Amino acid sequence: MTETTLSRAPVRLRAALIGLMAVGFFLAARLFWWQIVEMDKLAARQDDQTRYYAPIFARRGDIVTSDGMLLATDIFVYKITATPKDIRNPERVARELAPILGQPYDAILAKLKSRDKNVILAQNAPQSVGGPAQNLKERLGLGGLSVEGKTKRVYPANAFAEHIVGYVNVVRESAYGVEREYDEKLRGTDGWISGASNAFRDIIPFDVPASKPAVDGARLVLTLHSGIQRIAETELLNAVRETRATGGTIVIMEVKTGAILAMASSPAADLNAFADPANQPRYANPAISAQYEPGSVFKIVTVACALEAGTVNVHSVFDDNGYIIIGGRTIKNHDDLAPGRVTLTDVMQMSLNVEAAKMSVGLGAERFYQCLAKFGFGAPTRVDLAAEAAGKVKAVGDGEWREVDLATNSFGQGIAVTPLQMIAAVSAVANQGKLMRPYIVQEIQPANGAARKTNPEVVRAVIRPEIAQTLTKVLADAIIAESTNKASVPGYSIAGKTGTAQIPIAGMLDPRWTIASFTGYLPANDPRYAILVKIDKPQTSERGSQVASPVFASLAKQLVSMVGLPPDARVASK
Amino acid sequence: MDRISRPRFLFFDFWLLGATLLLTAIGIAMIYSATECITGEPLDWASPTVRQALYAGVGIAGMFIAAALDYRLYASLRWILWFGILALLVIVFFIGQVTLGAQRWIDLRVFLFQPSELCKLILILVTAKYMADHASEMTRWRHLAIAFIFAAIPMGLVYLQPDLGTTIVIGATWGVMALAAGMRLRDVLIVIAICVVFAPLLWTNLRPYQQERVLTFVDPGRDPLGSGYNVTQARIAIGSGGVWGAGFCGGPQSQLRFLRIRQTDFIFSVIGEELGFFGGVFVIALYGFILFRLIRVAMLARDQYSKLIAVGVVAVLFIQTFVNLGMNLGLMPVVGIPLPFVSSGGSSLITLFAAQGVAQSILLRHRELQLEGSGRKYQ
Repeated sequence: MTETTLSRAPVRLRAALIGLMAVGFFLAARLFWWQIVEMDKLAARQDDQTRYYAPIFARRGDIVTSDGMLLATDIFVYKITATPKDIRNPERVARELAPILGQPYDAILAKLKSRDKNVILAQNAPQSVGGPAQNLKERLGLGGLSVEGKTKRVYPANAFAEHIVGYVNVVRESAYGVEREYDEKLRGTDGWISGASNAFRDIIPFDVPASKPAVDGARLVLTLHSGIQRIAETELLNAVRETRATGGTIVIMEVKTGAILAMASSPAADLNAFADPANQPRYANPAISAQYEPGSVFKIVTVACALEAGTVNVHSVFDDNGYIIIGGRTIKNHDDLAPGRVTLTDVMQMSLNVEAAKMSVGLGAERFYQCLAKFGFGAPTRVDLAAEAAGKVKAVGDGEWREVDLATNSFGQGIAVTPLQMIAAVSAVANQGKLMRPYIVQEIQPANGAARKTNPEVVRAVIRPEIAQTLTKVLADAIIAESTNKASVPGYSIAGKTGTAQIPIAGMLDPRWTIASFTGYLPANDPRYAILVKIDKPQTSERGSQVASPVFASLAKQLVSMVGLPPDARVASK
Repeated sequence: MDRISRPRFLFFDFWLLGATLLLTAIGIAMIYSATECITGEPLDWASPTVRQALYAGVGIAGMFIAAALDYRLYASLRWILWFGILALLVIVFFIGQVTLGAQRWIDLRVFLFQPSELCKLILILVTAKYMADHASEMTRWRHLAIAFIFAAIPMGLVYLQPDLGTTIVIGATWGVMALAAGMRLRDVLIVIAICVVFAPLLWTNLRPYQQERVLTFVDPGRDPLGSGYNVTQARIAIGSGGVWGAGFCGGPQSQLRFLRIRQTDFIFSVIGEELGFFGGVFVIALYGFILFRLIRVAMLARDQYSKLIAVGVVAVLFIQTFVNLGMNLGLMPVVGIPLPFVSSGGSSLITLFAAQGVAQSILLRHRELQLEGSGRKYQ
């Protein structure tokens, strides 16, 4: 050793000791700064990131028919994912998961060992998979495994009654029908849970977790009867196929209450397949949203208005020479009929446009349109279904109305209605002149609290009961008088009217296509059920009497046997 | 002069051993808190806690063996030691286990062996010999350069693994030893100046993740869920520990796994959170005490070789402790350096115990020349 190193060494050692102590104090000072000076601030950040808040999803209420058929329900499905880098023992986890997931061990192991940040092990798994997976996660304390449960709306009946039910999409937004209309009631109230969570957002029992339970949504019982709906759907499908029509609608309503027993439209689509864009146009309910020109069936309304006003009566005799000129336009009967002297029954049986036009003109615009409004045309029926259209009745002085409209409106042209408006109006005649609000939900059963039944609601008395009875008799007689009438149901008295409407396109009427319909009710002596049949663009015949009447008859026959309605008329014998 | 006599076990530093064992015990407890305490997994042979205890046992045994062996043995074995460690570092490239993008471990079936940890001790023993042999010439660039080559080649290999942290530790340890061996402060300043000049070159050669760590150190908020995540979580963990800490197994940051790599690089954050300010200061004080006892060894060392070894042991322990604590306390960039005696990991623990054994060996033999010498006493 030289002198220099000997003399230098102790100095450096001393310097090192001092340096060491300085460093120690420096580190301790830093600790002091964080743990004592900044402690509150940092502890707050800690609290913040360990606080866990999660919603508890309420189960959306079931939708069932009046006879208990399940149309819509919520199920729990599970998404099971893993974060491979947080799974310490992938072999063991894979071995335990394989029987739970029903997947091969190797496939799971490969996923657990993958380099991906997250891997999906199962999606939309049922409770029988999600439950055991959650148990496994808790038993092994697997931070890297996530079992996420959520509710999913399913429609066990698929396309059955789809226009009434509507659907709820993956983000739980409702569309159409009862789902949309009763969204708030069905939805319930989500609860929440809050507590401490770990870095993987799992709730851990570090704190006493606070929670508010979810209140499940209400169960809805519809007025719809699954048997009657099935009949309606089957008949509609057959009719559309046989007449090579583009679609159609059938509505069956209880005339005394307004309860809708069946409401079928074609084409229909599976509610579970709403994600398919091709299905989208098929979810709107044509029975409440498809506006059309009703045609001759509207004469029921015109005659009712004239009888109520007293401008005609049941004994009136009309002289029909086949035409009338209104506002410079000539109105003719169909097939250029000019039957001469006719009764009110004849007017209905022969469906004379000229006589209907004379009645509305006789009433005058003010009384006629007031009467239409009383029957509910031009305004929504307030049925408890979403997206109802109001129809369109031109008003005097609105710029669109012409004098000739007063005449053509009388037999259902130049006026737009929805099928539900039409059947509701006809039902008012059937129901002693009282217009009922149509409804589809008969009972709301909340998860907690008393069930609430829907009370039938009289919208207004449109015509006097005796006028209604008179008109019913006229309608029934008109059908009996025509022995070949295809709407007849042996043993039962029926009242009703066909309609053959042209389809307005761009300011004129499409010469090729019609909407053929029949709206009627039975039994005529004490009306109980109203039925509307509407067939769009039939190709075998354009006439309601050919296309829609047989469907009405077939429906009525099945309906009376199903509801046990005894025959009220002698079987017509020829 | 080098007459081999029996070592004096009287000189064995039980204070040093006691403080080290206390630190190791704290380490094992905190590893438990950071692992099985959270997962609830059984304490079996695979569990980090049990393994750490086993490594500690092996380390203590190694320490006694190293203490019993005459440190001068390493001087004569220096070439075998040096080429041996070079061979191991080269082997790692071929059969090493790749973890998180780095190839650092050799799988010994029962244990993943990390040669770069052992390398730290070997290089102390080897370079100390050269520096001691050329004690009067360490002011000369030629000998500095030769002494540096002993360290530089393994450093290069470690850097390529890549393991920047260990490379820095080895380099800094070498620097401290060179200073102790007589390197002029002026020369140190020149080296530092050269480093500063070449720093931009080094920067461009850093891997993206290494650059990211340095940038994160400058501004932890720049990527809160990326590389800054651990820095932020460490700060929250330590800070929320407060004066007394959240208690054993009670720190939300660690128990709820916000803190990552918590049983290794960030174990001090677990200590800070669960044992609080006093726990943290106590651990820092333990390091200070251990370092003080080792510096004492350097002062007592009877020859330049043993003195330089002791300085090397002090340096490696100090640098690792300072870098790791600095990293936990947001004073240093995140470089994966374990906290000596505390972090989970066998190679580091066993090597550190062995290094301490060498220091004890120096103590046991420091009086041999004093017996008939000046009679100057240190104790």
